Amino acid sequence: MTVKDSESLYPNAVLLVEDLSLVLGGQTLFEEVSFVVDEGEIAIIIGPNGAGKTMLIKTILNLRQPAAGSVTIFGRDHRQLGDFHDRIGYMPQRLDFDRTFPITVYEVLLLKLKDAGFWLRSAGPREKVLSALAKVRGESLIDRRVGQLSGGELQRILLAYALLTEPELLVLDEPVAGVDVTGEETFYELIHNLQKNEQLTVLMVSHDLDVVYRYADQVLCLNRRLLCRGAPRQVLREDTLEQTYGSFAGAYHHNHH
Amino acid sequence: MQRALLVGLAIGFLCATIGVYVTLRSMAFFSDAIAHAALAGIALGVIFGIAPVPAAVLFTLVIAVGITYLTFHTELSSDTVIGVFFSGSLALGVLLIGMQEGYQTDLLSYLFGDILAVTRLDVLLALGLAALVMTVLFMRSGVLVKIAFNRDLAAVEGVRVVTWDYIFMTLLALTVAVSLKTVGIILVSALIIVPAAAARNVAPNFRVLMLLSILVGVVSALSGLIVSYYLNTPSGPTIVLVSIGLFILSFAGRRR
Repeated sequence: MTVKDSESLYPNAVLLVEDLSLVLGGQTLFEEVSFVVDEGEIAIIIGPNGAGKTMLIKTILNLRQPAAGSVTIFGRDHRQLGDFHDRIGYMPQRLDFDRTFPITVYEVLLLKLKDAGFWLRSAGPREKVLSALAKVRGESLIDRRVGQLSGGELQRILLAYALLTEPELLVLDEPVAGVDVTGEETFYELIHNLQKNEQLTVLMVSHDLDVVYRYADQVLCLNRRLLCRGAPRQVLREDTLEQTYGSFAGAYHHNHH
Repeated sequence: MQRALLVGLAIGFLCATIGVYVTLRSMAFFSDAIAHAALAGIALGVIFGIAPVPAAVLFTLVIAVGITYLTFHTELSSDTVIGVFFSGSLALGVLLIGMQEGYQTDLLSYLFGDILAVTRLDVLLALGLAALVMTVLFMRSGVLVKIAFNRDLAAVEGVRVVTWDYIFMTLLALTVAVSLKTVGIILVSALIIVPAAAARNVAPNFRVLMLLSILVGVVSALSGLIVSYYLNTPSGPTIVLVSIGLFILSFAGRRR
């Protein structure tokens, strides 16, 4: 099926993934992954550790070269997005950076604003940064050094960074990994509210089946292959969960009903 | 003397600026390696009749690309690859220069710097290259900081990360080539690293970091040159000792 054929079949698709496979160091990380994410949808990828979820996200974003398959975002091949890059916001799972390096939240966010002077600064860009931070309730963090932020604060800054260019597609890789549970709850609520207010399309990786059940429009179960795909009620059943995770996850189903 | 001070000003400014990015990207060892590669470059230039600065730039670029390629395409760690190229090119350079009759005295001045050897052409070249490198560094600072902060984040925004790696390497090679005569090969990487390291101890944000690094670099270069002139010591080590002195001061007053 060519890209054009699939586009006419999925007119509302923001993201179209077809037969995507990734091979690294001789190992197949995932293969034959196909799914569609429509405008305004929240799609959540679940699966055990090592299932290839982060690599799938990275391949979709053209950070890794697929062995086969194609990805179309907003109708364009993901390798030739050009000015469409601004329509995507990405929050990685882990941010590797030098924590001792002196750079403030303001400066990092300034980097993403075009036409904003980094060395000679004016009031306009600062306003823009403040309003992006307001969306994540992080205005007070603006002049803090990035290396000194707590896990939860860094998460919020990364989300603000992703939202800075007012993207239409938000890609989040396990956004609350490593943050305590109460922090988790508000973070997902935050994303959910943002998604409603700004009509965002969201592709997210999550470990928390509770969250998935509550917020997802579409669930994708990944364990090297896409083992299930559909609405939470259909997908989060004992048999599909067992297939994806192995037998102990089947217990989830009983607790939830 | 005025010529030397002018070159010193340009080099102090330049090394300190690129040094902020070198330390941010943890490329201190890499920059030292390509500085030592310059020696082999100069030696080969002497043999083939190419002027020292272009020969140095060419050879350091070859080494820089070689290191990067082997690091990405083999299982060797970057540490190991850099170490091998470092020692190899330095040994080659010392041997080749040693074989050229009449160049043995030049060896010391290449290794440690010699302000008295600075010619008018050197000044023009230094100012010209410094201006070029500085222009790129300041006009594209946003991209460079973004890549250094997190490569994936930069790549998702459409930044050509690999292309910029090569551009940065070229700028570093040019910086080293320009600084050779004043500071010498052994210590040019010190002038690149130490001002940025000193500034890092006390800077609260990136803008102040850059400003302080440049300040330390320029002050070290100028005062180091003046002191070395009057005490008749090699310029390179003198400049570096001044910068170390400033580093110790900044370390004593560091933010916690």
